[in-house]
Amino acid sequence: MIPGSSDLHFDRMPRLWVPLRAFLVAPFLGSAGGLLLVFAGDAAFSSRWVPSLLAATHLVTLGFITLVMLGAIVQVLPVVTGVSVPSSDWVAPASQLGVAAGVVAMAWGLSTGLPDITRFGTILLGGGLGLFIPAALAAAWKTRRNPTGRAMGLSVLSLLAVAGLGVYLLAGHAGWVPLRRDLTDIHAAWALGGWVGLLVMGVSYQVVPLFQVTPPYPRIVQEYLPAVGFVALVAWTLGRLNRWPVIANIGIVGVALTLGAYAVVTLWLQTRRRRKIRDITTDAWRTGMGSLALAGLITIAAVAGLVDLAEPKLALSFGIVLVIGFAVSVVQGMLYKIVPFLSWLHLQNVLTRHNLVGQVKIRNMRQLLPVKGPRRQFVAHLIALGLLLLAAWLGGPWVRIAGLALAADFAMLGWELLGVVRRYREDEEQIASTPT
Amino acid sequence: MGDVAGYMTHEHRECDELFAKAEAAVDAGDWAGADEQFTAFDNLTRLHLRREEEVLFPAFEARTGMTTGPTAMMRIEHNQIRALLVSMTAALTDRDTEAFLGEAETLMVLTQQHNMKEEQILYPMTDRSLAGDAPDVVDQMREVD
Repeated sequence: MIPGSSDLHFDRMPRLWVPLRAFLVAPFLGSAGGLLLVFAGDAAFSSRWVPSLLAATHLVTLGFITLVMLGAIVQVLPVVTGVSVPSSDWVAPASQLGVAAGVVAMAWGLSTGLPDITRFGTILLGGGLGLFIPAALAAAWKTRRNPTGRAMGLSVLSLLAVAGLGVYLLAGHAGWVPLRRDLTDIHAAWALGGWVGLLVMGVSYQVVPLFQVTPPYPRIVQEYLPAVGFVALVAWTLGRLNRWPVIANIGIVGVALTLGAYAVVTLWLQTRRRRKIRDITTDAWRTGMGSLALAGLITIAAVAGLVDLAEPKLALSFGIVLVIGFAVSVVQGMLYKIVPFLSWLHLQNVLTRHNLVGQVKIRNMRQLLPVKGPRRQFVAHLIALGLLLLAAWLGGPWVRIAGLALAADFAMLGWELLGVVRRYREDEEQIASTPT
Repeated sequence: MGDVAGYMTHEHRECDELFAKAEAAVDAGDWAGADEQFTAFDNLTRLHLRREEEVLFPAFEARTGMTTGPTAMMRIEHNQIRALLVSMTAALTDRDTEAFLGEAETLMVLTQQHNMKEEQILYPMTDRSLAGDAPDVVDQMREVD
């Protein structure tokens, strides 16, 4: 044995359906979030504490973003670092089921005011994330020498904080413990800045330079930015909890600068890309990075006293820019690469098993996912983003219209991904019916 | 970065550059440019695969005794890469933009996830297992034609 050889799990890529199931269900949970806004109407945007808004938000953040990221970690980690998530064959499906079913129960319980259902959701979510987090941390620990592995580890540690605070808050809603609303901002900051922000950072250190043929991220960005962001989040949290305003302000400015700098560096690298083909993933990432930089600016403006983030309309807009503008855009862009590629790769394996390599022509990625559909869907996404921002300021019927646009945005994404699977199946049947 | 990792990673990036140029030329309808850039890309990629299959992988396998593990997986992916190069050549001959770009996109994603595995894991492991002999192996790879 030579050092590091035990980490080699090239051939242990999870079976196709483990991540794919999560990727196919997730858009429809996001769509349900949009529909919830349609049913709740104007009331949903009247304050950030309205249960139907909390329910809709979590259908998007947990049901879409987190569910996809759980699938992606299981898939990406072995490729990028050669380390698989331990027991991913049962941990991954079980945790995905817990999160998907848990967020539905949570949204149902919150929006209808049924604490028993909320409790059931709390248990499912706690169980699902409780299975995933230790397994992912164990894998990340083995890859700590790799900047992507480190960022992923810090991201999963953040998820631990998010899940702990979230389950505690949900237990408050379910009537088990007193509801500590002052913890909500901390929960949200760790979710978006830590869990989503650091994971996207770590993954992009690999995928942006390679897929778009850009120069690499500067060494200092790769090595230190995720850790600085994480420490700044810790400082801000301690400042918030102990009422140390100076520490809290330094911490949150640190978080904003870290993520903002990352977004600006990414946009700058993209201007220097040598792969000129314009695709939907590049557009989605640009939208995401622009939104992230904007959110950083708003945060710094708030600390400087130029704007008041406690003002409900601005607070709502800020959340929309981060969740829909940044996280959802980036995740959608990623799905448009990962789903057709995985399908193609598994068709290759089917060909190899049937000894038909080179004899049966299978669809390439652009035949599995023709470019037109995603382009239409991306326009729908931008419209949904614009309408949600409009609804945050105007309220009234705009909330229902924006909800409908968001539901359509996600449903179109789901439809495109289902199309890939349908074409995959056709090719698979063609291979199976070819005599060897 | 070790000798093998440095040399081979650099060649990956050269292939990426040529790929991007060929793809951009097809997208712009510049078929003469596309022929030239794609031929360069095709040649360098095949040469790179041969350097690995004829020199690097046997050296790795001899040192580590691992003949069915990572190198077997890499060889399978090399064949998938070659199959896509054949389809791209056919699309280029037919002047079929859509077919070329579709095969190109697939090759790009396949190659990049393949390269990540080599650069992050296989090359560093090879450098460690070869130790002082790494420069010799790089010299032998240079001589492959």
